[in-house]
Order: sequence, then structure tokens, then C-alpha cells
Amino acid sequence: MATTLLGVTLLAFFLIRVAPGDPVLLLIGERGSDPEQYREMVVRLGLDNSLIVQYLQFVVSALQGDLGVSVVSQQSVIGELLARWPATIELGVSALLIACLLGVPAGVIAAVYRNSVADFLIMSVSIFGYSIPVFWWGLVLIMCFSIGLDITPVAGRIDILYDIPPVTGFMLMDTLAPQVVQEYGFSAFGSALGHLVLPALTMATIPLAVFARTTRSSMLEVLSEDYVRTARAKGLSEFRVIWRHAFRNALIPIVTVGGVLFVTTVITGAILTETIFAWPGVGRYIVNSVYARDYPVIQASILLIGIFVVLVNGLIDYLYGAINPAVGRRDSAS
Amino acid sequence: MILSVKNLSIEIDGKPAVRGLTFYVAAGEVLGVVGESGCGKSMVNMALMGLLPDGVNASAEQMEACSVDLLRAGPRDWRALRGGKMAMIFQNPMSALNPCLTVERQLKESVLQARTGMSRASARAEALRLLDRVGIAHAGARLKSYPHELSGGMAQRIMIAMAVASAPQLMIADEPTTALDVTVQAQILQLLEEIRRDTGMALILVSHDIGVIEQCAHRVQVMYSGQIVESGDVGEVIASPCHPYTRGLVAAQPGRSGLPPKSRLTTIDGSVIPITEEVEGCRFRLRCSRTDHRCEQPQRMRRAAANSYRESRCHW
Amino acid sequence: MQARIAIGFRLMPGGWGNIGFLVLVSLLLLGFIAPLLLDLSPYRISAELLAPPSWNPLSVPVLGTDDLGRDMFARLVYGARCSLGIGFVVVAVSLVIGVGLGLLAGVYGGWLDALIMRLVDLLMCLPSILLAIVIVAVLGSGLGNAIVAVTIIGIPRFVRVVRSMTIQEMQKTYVMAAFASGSSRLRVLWSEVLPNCVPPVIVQAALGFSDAILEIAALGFLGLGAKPPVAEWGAMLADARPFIESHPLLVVMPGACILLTVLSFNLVGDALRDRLDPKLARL
Ligand SMILES: Nc1ncnc2c1ncn2[C@@H]1O[C@H](COP(=O)(O)OP(=O)(O)OP(=O)(O)O)[C@@H](O)[C@H]1O
Ligand code: SF4
Ligand SMILES: [Mg+2]
Repeated sequence: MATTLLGVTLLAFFLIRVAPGDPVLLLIGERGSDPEQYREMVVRLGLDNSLIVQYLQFVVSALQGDLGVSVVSQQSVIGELLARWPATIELGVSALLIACLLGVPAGVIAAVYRNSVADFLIMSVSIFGYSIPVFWWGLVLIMCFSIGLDITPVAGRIDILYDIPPVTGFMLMDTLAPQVVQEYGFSAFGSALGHLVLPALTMATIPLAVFARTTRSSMLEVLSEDYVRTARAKGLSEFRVIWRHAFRNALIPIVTVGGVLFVTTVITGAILTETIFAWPGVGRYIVNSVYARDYPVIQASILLIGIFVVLVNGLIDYLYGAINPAVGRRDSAS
Repeated sequence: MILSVKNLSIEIDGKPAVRGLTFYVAAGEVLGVVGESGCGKSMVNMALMGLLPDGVNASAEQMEACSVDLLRAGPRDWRALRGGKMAMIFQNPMSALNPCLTVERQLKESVLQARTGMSRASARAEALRLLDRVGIAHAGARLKSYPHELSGGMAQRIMIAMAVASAPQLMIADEPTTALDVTVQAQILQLLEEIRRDTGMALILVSHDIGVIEQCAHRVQVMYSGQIVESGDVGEVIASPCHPYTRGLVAAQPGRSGLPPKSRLTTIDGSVIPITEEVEGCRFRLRCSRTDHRCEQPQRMRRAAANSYRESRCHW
Repeated sequence: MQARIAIGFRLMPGGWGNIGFLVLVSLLLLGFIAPLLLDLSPYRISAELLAPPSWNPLSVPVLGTDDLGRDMFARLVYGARCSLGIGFVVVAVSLVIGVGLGLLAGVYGGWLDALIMRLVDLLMCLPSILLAIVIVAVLGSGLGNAIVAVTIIGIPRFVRVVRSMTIQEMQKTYVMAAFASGSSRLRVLWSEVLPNCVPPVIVQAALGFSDAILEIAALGFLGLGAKPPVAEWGAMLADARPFIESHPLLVVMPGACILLTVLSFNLVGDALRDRLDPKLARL
């Protein structure tokens, strides 16, 4: 954990120093052409100090929430990122929920009815889902549902008719705020939900497939365990045997995979899906910053995402312990 | 008869594995089953409990337990039987308990299975009583434990508590002590014997160890490669084994066959043929030291002596 | 002759993997042989813009033309060559580096192991497409830099399997005996440890191929990899986006090619894993 954080800060720090070109120019953009400002920046960034001091300065200011200023917008990077974060999380969590709610039961069914037609179908769909290029899949969904059937919007988070004051940043919540409901009724919420469906489905595809596969193999392993046989020998119904005795144990790898997926779905999915659906989140912001060579933003994004990953991993470890009472003992025993 | 089985055959992936087993268990009796690893003892037990894995199928002329016709039992009947008149305990108690659930939940589950509609509080009281019955101290504290916090012996006691929760008429103990220390082994066997005496249930006790069988069982049947090769009264069989395989087993015991305990153990030469492999004639032929031309014929069970029920699958 | 057939079958991954394998072979033939036999050019501009597919193998724009009047079939064929070629380079380079680092980490242990594994953890914990974008951002966009980025991302998977295999092997008695009898480290590594790493490395290579192709295409789609005139599936997809309403096939075709290729590699990889990895095959 700690080493990962350290690594992420080093990565972010060296990013602009490895990049071809003068780091000062990379960090402050056009303003650097003014020699006065240039010198001021060198001093402010501490570029006349040794690398170690520079790194420490970088970490300290990052801890204080100062990640520099965007070259493009001249706004504080951290502010810009945090403003976009809720949109990304909203999309990612919706996608993961869909994936989990469909993928896990599908995997259980595939394992319980192993080698049946259902198993074959679920596994076939899952390997397709696993191989699909997300950016293409999004376009195909747009073709089917937006252009073909015309039932979902193509881009954005909500119709431009609505003027929703950002309170939480989560559109689904903000559209349910009392004054919004007063003004528009629930149509704003409906619109937000409608905008969310396609991108969330797009993003859910890969995690859905992974959930189904992991759940299946984990369940298969658990179903052959002695305690499942014990549960059957007690005369319990098959339903109880599967859900109470097998599934709970099978959850352990599923939760681990879920954590990894959460990170990759939210970030990877965000980068590609948000670009396709013009979703105003962190992913699209990062891509645009790469186009604009806005290094402070790229640097800060890496840092924030690294921290996010570490936090999620911590959460997974916690869940892991909550599900499996023997975690500590078993690890030290094996 | 609490259990009577006639011509039970089990096929693994369509290949015969267990061939024509006929045996019975009387009420209150302890039937010992011995045989080396892989000879199909557990398969038979699973067939009796209706728990055969996928791809393994049983067929029989007759299979009746606790007055239920197992050949005609549907899933519901099986479940009622398993949680009721029949119970089973397994070889490795540590892996037979669910690692994610507390002892309390697993034990109460068995209690409630036997007596549906029991209140939670009385189920807990019953669970405590059962723990007490199987000799676990501080039962209240133990209820809160997870399986990984238990020793092997304790875990097996809890398995026994779960098994006797429904006051079964027949308990199948599949190598209940193989995974345990010697001292704990003796305690567990004694506990089983006590419970059997108190409740009058019948017990099928499976073991590799003919010493364990001698100590606990009334009758014994020796299995070899999917067949019963010898059966009879424990004392008689061990004192004068008829079948060469049984002879080997008995001789392989330390402290027997006239040898001082520490001397080299007699072992049976050669290794077991896979249970599904077809053999012409006697299945023990490849390892037997007394073969002659008669062994090329398949052997059937024969009365060993006119005035006893001892039987052996050998022409000698 | 029979022996040769037997070897051929042993190379086949088995089950559904065989189908994936056949698809890949066909794609390979199509990408590398078809251009030699047919008069195909991915860049030649014809007067017929956005011609619909004829679906007739004998008439020339079988799959129609794109917005600049270029033959879609030719572009897709060259796209196959591009994806498979790049995939091969990426996997080959990351395999060599990854196996080397894995051996180093496994054999020497200590701080070297710690350093390598920390780097690997760092690379594995950040989502790969983000890393690729960041690396491209540092190096500048373009196909060459995209290849470098995807290669770097491909390294950790090999390091991990090789390291764990090495550590496992080094504890075996015969390897220790080989060391004890004075064989040189390199020799023991080469003759005892490395052969045991081959099966898992092959599995990882197949799966790495599919990831590499997906990532290169994603970068092309984002405009950070292959640049427009190049016939690369991801870039073609981005080019075709404006025509999504009028000519959906232009969007469907390159993506379907990516899907088919990636799917085939995954089928092969899964089948190989079932066959070669005893731990997973047990299921
Ligand atoms: N699920 C299964 N599918 C196919 N074959 C199996 C399965 N389980 C066991 N077998 C085979 O059935 C044979 C009999 O196994 P069984 O477990 O009944 O032996 P056992 O006498 O109980 O041995 P042990 O003393 O080791 O418990 C073994 O040779 C084994 O290979
Ligand atoms: S029948 Fe023959 S081979 Fe079989 S046990 Fe008797 S003597 Fe041995
Ligand atoms: Mg057994």
C-alpha cells in the first residue's frame, strides 16, 4: 500500500521531468515565454533545487491539496478534477452494479448447472463480453438504441433544457433535490437516468463477463468442498446449500475481483466510455488534457487515481476480513 | 434390519466401480468396514446417503434404510432421511465444517432441520445440550467460535453433535478418526460408542485400521477393489481370516502374527488396481500369494464354515 | 507422417481454442498473403466515395469504400496485418524483458526482487489504458510510442508468472542438488527452471496478445496511436464515427474485426490455460 502510494507520487513527479521539453514550459504553458514569469516559476516550483528537494516539495504541496494550475483553463487542477469526479463515480458505480447484479447470479447458475445449455450460453456470452472493444461496443449501442430505436439520448448527462444546480455532483441525486422536483417534477430525474443507461451498459459489459467467469469458477471450486457435502448430508434444501453454504465462501475471490474491476471499470471504462458519450467526467478530462499536453492535469490525475486505487484496495481488504473469519489465521498457517 | 442392501453396484462415468455389494445392518449394531484407500468405501457411503457426485450412479436390487425404499426416494425423501433418521460424519472434520459460519449457526441448522418450527431460543438450548453431550467444555463460548478456532478433535465432536441432533437410527462414520491424533482417536471412538449405547442407533464405522474395527465393531466386512471379500463376526474374522487379503491386513497390524511389535511390518505386495479396471477372475489375483487355476474364475461369496455366517470371496 | 500430424495436434489448444486458432491462422493468411496475391491498396483513392458493400467477392469494393473512396476490404486486410504484427512485436519484446526480470527477481531475491516486484505492482495496480495514455502523453502521440507504451504495460504479467515459477522450482530438491553439485547458476536456470516456465508463459503470451491488440486499437481510437491514413482498426473506427448514422457498416466492420481477433486469442489462451496450467485445469 504505502509503497504503491510512494510509487505513484514518484511516477507523477518524474512524468514531466522525463517528458521531452522544458518542465517549466510544460507546467505553465505559454506564460513561460515571458522571462520574468519564467524565472518566478522556476523559483516557485523550486526547480533550482536538487531533485530530492523538488520531490519533497511536490509531495508536501500535494498533501496541502495544491496540484498546480491547468495550462488550458488556468484553474486549480484539483478543483477541476474534483468537480468531475462525481460524474465518473456515478457512471462507474452504476455500471458495476449492473455487472454485479447480472454477472454474479449468472455465474452461480452456470456453476450449479455445469455443462448444461445454460452454462454454455452464459459462458459464451461472457467470453464475448470479455473480448469486446468497449469503444466500439458503445458506438454499436448508440447505433441500436439511439439511432435505430431512438429511445436513448446520445451524449451528455442530462437534457440541456434542465438547469440543475450541482449540490452533490451526482446527477441522479441532484435531480431529486426539492427545488428541482418543484420546478421540473421528476422529468429531470428521468432524463438523467435515460442519459445514464447507455454509457453504464457499455461500461458494464466487461465487468459483467469477468464477474460471471470468476463466480462460476469460484463456485465450482467451493461446491466440491467437504463442507458443502456436510450441508447436503444435513438434509438442507439445495437452495440453502448453494446460497448459504457455498456462495458465501465463493464470495471471497469475487470480492477481490470486484475490487480490481471497480478500479479498472471506473477508470478504464471512464476514459473510453466518457469520450464516446461526451460524459463530463474525469476520463474525458484526462484524454482532453493529453491532447492539449496539459501536464499539470495529467500529473494530478495519476496521483488522484493512484490514491483512489489504494483506497479501494484497503476497502477490499476490509471486506475480505469481514467475509472470511479465518483470513489472518489461514494466511499465517499456509 | 435398519439397512439392507442387495446387489448394490456403482458406476463412475459408466464404468463399473463397486460391484454387487450385499450387506445389512441390524438395529443397534456396529458394522465395521475395512479396506485400503480407493477401494470404494466412501462411494458406498455416499450412495447410502444419496450424495453421489455427478457422473457417478448407483443401481441395486434392493436398498432400504430405516424402512424407506432408497431406490424410489425422491429429492424430498432423501432430504428428510438425511436430516432425520440417517446421519453421516466425515474423515476430515476441519474441512467438513463451513469456515464462514459460526459453530452456533451450523449446529442450530441441524437442530432446526430435525425439528422444524422450534423457537430460536430453544434451538440454542438444544445446541448447548448437544455440545455438552459430545463432551465439549464451555459450550456457550464454543458456540461463538469459527471452525478455524477449533482443534481437530473438537471439530469432530461438533460434527458428531450435528449428526446426532436429529436422533438418527443409523449413523455412518466414514473414517472419523483418520485425521486425528492417536489419543484423540480413542476419545472420539469412545464417544461414538457411548452415544450408540445411549440412543440405540446403528453405526457403520469405516476405517483403514483393523485395530479400530476390532475394538469397536460387532461385525466386520472387508472390502477390496469394489467388492466385499470377507464378512463375519469381528473376533472370528481377525482370529482366523479366510481370505488372503484379510490375512494380509491382519498380519500388517503391528504386534500381531507372533512378531514382536517393533519388527518390520508385513505389508501386502503390489499396489491396488484402479477400482474401475476389469480383471478376469479374482480381483485380488495380481497380489495374491496363493493363486492357482481356480482363481481365473470370478469368485463368489462362500460360506466359510457350515455353522456360522462368515463368508469369503475365495475358493480356499 | 503420423508423428507430424500428432505434433500438429499437440500445438492445437483444444476445444473452442481450436476454432480461435483457425480464425487466427486465417487472419494471418489474409493479412500477410492476400496483399501479395490480390491488387489491394489501403491508400488508393477512388472516385466512388462511401460506396455500399457489394457482398460479391468477384466485384471490386466487396465491402464498399470509405469516405475518401478507399477500399474497405483492403483497409481491413491491412488492419489485420497491422494488429497482428504489432501484437507480435509487443508480446515478443515484453515477453523477453518480462521473463528476464522474473528470473532475476526469482533467483536473486533480496532488494532486487523487492524493487522489481514493487515496479510490477505499481504497473499492475494502475489501469492499463490510463498508463498507456500517460506514457503516450510523455513520449508524444504516434504509433511508435503507442507500441512502446503497450509493451511496457505487457511486461508485468510475465514477470509475475516467471518469478513464482522460479521460486517454486528453486525449492525443489533436484534443482538444489544441481546447484550443490556445482553447476553454474545460468546452466541450472536454462536447463531446469526455464523449461518449467514455458507453459504458463505461453498462456500469458496468448492473453497478452489480446490485451495488446485491444490497447493499441483503443489508443488508435483516441487518436493517440496510429494516425489517420494508416489502416489500423482503432483509427479507422475513429475516422468512421461521423458516418455512424449514414453508413453504420463503416463503424461496425473494423470493430467486429477487433472483436473477432481478440476473441480468438482469448479462446486460445483459455484453452491453453485449461490444458497447461494444472492448478486451473483441476476445476
Ligand atoms: N467424484 C469422483 N469421480 C470419479 N471417480 C471418483 C470420484 N471420487 C472418487 N472416485 C474414485 O472412486 C474410487 C473409490 O473412492 P473412495 O473414495 O470410495 O475410496 P475409499 O475406499 O473411501 O478410500 P479412502 O480410504 O482413501 O477414503 C477411487 O479410486 C477414486 O479414484
Ligand atoms: S481366489 Fe485365488 S487369487 Fe483370489 S484371493 Fe483366493 S486364492 Fe487369492
Ligand atoms: Mg473414503
